Amino acid sequence: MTARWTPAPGPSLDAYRAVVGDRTIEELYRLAERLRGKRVQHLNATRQGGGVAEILNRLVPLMRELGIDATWDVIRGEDDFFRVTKSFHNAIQGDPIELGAADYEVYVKWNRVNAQELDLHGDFVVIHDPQPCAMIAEHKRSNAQRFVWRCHIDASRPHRGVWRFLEKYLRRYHASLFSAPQFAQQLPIPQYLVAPAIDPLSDKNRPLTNEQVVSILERHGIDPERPILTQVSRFDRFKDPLGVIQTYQMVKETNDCQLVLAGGGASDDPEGAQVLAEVQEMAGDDPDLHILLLPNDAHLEINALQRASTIVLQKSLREGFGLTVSEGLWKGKPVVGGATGGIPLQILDGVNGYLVNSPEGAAFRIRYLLNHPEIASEMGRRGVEQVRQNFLLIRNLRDYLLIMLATESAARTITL
Amino acid sequence: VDDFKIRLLTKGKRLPFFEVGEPFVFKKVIYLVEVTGHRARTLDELLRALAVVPADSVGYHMHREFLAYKFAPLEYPNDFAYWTARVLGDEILGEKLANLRVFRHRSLDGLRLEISRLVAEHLLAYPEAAKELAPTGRDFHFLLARSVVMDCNRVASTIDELTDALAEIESSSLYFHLFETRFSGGQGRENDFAEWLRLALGKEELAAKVANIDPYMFSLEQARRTLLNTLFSAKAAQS
Repeated sequence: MTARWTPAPGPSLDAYRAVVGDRTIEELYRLAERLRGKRVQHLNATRQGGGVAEILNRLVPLMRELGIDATWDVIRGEDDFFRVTKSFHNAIQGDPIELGAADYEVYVKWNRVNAQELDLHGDFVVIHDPQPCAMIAEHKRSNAQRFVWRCHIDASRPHRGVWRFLEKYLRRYHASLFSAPQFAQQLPIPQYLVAPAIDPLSDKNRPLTNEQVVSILERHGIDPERPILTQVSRFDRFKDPLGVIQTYQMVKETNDCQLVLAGGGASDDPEGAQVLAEVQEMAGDDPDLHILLLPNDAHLEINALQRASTIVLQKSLREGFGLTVSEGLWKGKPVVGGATGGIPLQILDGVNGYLVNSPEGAAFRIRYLLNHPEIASEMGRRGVEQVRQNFLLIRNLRDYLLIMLATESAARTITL
Repeated sequence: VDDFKIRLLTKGKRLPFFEVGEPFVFKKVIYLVEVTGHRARTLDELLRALAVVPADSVGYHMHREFLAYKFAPLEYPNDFAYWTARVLGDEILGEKLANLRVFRHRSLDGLRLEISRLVAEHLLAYPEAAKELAPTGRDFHFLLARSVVMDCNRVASTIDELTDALAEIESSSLYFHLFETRFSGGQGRENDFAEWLRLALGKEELAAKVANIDPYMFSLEQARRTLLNTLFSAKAAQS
C-alpha cells in the first residue's frame, strides 16, 4: 500500500532564529497567516535517500508548526515501475533512452494504482518529480484544489519523447516549480523558480566537535592529518564517480591526498549497484581511496566527512540541484563542482569554489587549492554566507508559502 | 492592483502618492520568481524577446541583483549589461546598457524601447556582434517576479522618525521604496522617501536632494548610509 509518512518533529522554528535571524522567522508567520488550516499534501516516490526526502522530512513538520495541515504520502510500485521511472529520470536529464509502449503502460498502470489508493485531498497538492506526475489524470479535482508539480531534476535538455509524454499531464497542473531557469520548458502553466535547500540544524549539517569528526574518520580508516577530498552522492553515472577517481589520480601525482566517495542508495534507484561495482573496480586496492556505501540515515557520518574534508567535490555531469554543494559550503569548505544544473547557482566561480567541465579541470583547481590553503579558507568563509543567504531550509519553506499564495491569487502583486 | 496606494493617471493628471500629513509606512517586498519561457542566445534573439516579454520582466532584470547578498560591488548594474559584456563578451554594448538612466523613463515600456534601441543601433554599427553566441547553459532567461508586499510594522510621521527607522529597517524595505514602487501603476516616479518628504511634509528642498540619490550607484547598505547622511545634513543645516 501507499504510505503516509510522518517525519519526526525535529527542531522548532524558534531554533532557527539563531541561524537566520528573528525577522526571517516572523516573516514566515506573517506569510502563513493567510494559509492557516490549509491542507498541503506532498507526494513523492521515496521516503529515504536523496535530497527530496531529506527536504520533505523537515519541510512537513515546519509547515505544521506554522498552522498548515501538511502531510506527506509516498507512492508505491514494484521493480518494473521504478526501472521505468529511473529511465524517465535519466531521459529527462538528457540520456538518449528509448522507451517502448510497454514501459509507458507500466508507468501509467502504477500511477493509476496509486491514485486509487491515495486520496488526493489537499487544498494544495505538491507532486514531486516524474514518478507520481500522472496521478493527476486519475483524480477528479475540485475547483478549489491547486496542483503543483515540483521538478527536482535537470530538465534543460530532456529526451523529447519522454517529455512530450509527461507534458500532457503537466498541462493539468496549476503551476510547476524548477530549481533553475534553464530547467524550465515551454509550458502553458506558470513556472516558478525554487532552489532546494539544506537544514542547518539536521544531523547532516549541525556543528560537530572535533572528537566526533576524528572518531568517524578513524572508524573508516581515513587519516585526519592528510588532505581529504570528498564527494558525497549516490552511485549514479550523472554524478561521475569514475571521473572523480580519475581527478584524484591526477592530483595524487603531485599532491598527497585521500579520496572519499561516500554514498547510499535510494529505493527508487535500481542502477546504483551496477555503478558501484564499476567504481570499486576502478578504485582497485588504493589504500587512500575510500568507497563508503553508507545507509540512508548516516547523516552524522556524512556531516563528519564533509567537515573533515580539505575540499568537497560534486563533479556531476548532470544535476538537478546538487544539495551536497550547499552542504559542503555550509561546512566552510571550498567546493569544486561540475558546471551543470543547479551547481553554478551555488558555486560562484572563484568566490567560494570552482566550476569545472572535465577531470583535468577539477584536478587543476584542486591542486591549486591544496597549494593555497589561505585562499581555500577564504572561499570557505564566503561559502557559509552564500548558503545562509540563499540555500537554507527556511528560505525553501518561505518559497512554498509564496507559491501557495500565488496559486490562490490572480494578482501579480499580493499585499499582506 | 494592490492596496499599496497605487494611483493611476486620471484624465492625464497623476494623483499624489502621499496625502499632506500622512505618515510614511515602511513596506518590504519578497519575490517569487517566474520563468517567462523567453530566452536569448544572441543579441538578435535578445532584441526579438524584448519586443514580446512583459514589461515587468524588463523592470525585474534592471534591479533584481540589488536585492541579493553580494560579496563584492556589482560589476554591472543590470542583467542586460552583465549578460552582453560578460557572457557574450560585447563590452561596448555592456557599457551602454550599464549607463542607462532607468528612472528617467516614464514607464517600463519606455525603458524597454530604450534598451531595444541601444541593442538595435549597436547591431547596425557592429554587425559582427550578431554572431556572438552565449555558451551552453548561459542563455539570457527572461524572468518575472510575483511580488508579495508586507508591512514592516514601522511608521514615520516626522523626519526624525524617518531617520530612526531608516537606520534599522531591513534592506528589503529599502529596496521596495527605492526600486519597486518606481513604476507602480505603469508610471515612472521619484523614490518613496522623496515623494513623502515633498507631498506629506512639504520639504521641497530636502525632497529634491533625496530624489537625486541614484540607487543604481550603491548597494542597499550604501544607499541607506547616503539617505541617512542626506537627512542628517539637512537637520544640521536647519539647526
